Amino acid sequence: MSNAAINPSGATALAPDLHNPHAGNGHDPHLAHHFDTPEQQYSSAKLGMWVFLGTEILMFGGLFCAYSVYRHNHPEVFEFSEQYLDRLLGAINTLVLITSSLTMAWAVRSAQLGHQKSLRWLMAVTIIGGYVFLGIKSVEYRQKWEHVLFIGPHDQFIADYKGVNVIELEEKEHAAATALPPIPPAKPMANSLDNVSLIPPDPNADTPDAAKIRPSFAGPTAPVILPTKGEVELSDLQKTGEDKHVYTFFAIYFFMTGLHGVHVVIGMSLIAWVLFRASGRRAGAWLLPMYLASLGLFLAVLGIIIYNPHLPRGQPTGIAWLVLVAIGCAIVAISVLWAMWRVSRRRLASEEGEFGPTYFTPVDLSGLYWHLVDLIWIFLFPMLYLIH
Amino acid sequence: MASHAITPDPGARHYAAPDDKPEDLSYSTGTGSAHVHVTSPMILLAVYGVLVALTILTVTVTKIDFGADFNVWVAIGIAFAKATLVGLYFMHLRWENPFNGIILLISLFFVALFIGVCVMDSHEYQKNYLKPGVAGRP
Repeated sequence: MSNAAINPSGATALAPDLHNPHAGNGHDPHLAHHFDTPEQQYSSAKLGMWVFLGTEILMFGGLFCAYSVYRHNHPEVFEFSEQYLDRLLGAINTLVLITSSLTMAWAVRSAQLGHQKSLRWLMAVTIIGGYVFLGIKSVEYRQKWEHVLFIGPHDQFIADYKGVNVIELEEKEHAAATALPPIPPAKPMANSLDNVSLIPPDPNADTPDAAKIRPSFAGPTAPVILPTKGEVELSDLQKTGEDKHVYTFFAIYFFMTGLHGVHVVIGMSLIAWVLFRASGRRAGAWLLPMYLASLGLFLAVLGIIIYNPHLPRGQPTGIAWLVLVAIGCAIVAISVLWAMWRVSRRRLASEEGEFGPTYFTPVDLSGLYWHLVDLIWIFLFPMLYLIH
Repeated sequence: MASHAITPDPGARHYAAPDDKPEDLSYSTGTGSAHVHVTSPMILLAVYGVLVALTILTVTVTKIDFGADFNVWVAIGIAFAKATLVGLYFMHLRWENPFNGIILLISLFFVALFIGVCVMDSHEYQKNYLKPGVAGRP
């Protein structure tokens, strides 16, 4: 490990100068001071990334625990709620993520071989796959809005949430003719200590007219309940009082898919940054405006997809639609102007991207993150969509 | 760092240049001078094909009823097979320092422990609301 050995090739010399740490660690500009050799740096980076992936798995493990406990204790709630989820869209999303994992793994291979063009294109295709996934997810969320299954307390399965009654609002909008009778006062609970009686109450006596009673969560028309495709029907749940637990399934659903969606966005941003680093000056000049334009376009499309005119008053999503579309259009406009400015000032390409056979660590690590996102979805899909 | 020929350094550890073993589909390239395995396209595409097939299987196997308790384990089993493929081949664990794979397994073990103990615990005090005669339940 002598620093005095003459390196005939003049290429990367990897023996560090141990007597003078500041003589430069070989000729590799990516080798940091605190590492002896590039491969030590690389394996340290990999190890650190795997430990981080372990913590991500544990974080999602908490949500999977909530899912498991709730499903174990209320399986019929899960069976009923699952018919609100679109299996085909979920399966397509799974295939989209698996394909983007393939392109990302191939991109790592291209980086290792120094194939710059295929590296950039494969990473760009991976980002597009992420956009497709988020778009299909938005369509699914839109389907939830149409069934009055919102994130948070304004869910049609909440028995007595405080705030706006969504069904009442829709009735007003559609100018429902008959006014509903007031909800009858609550009878004392059968297990209340104040009314203990040795004679059980007669279930047939004093049965109110079904048409006059408002069900616990919906108006008489209740247009949003799906015709039941599965074995468990809403009436079964209502017999046991489980119908008010259905909103917990959707809380779990939105939390898990939402957090996973956030991870998709993070992964896409990481890959976009690595793509920018992998690009030469000419491609890089185009990339930033293109990122902005794609983001703006996506926000505008997202706003249009999730907009629902029948949203209850006070729901943020209605205004969020306008805000999203406005922000999206502003971003597209700014980025188009920027692209035009860059074209007018285009400099000659002089450098290649940063990655090659001697240094591809960022491509590798962001690829690992993307594969983790794919892994999590591989588990989410059957657990949420394929309950039977 | 454009791709240029990696010339051997007499002081460095031996590594295989790309044209050393032309018949070898998976060959090594240098990170510095160490062996780093490059995944071959055939392996990538083969794993991709199996993953797509397993996804289709996951969806179609829902038509078969293995029993109320066992269905979820079939789904999880297929998911585990897919996860193993992604981990081994796409995430490169097969050709890496085994400690990275051990980290993954350890985290999965702790998640399983977490979920298992919580489900067991909740089973002790959570009332089972399911009454007889509801929708095909015994």
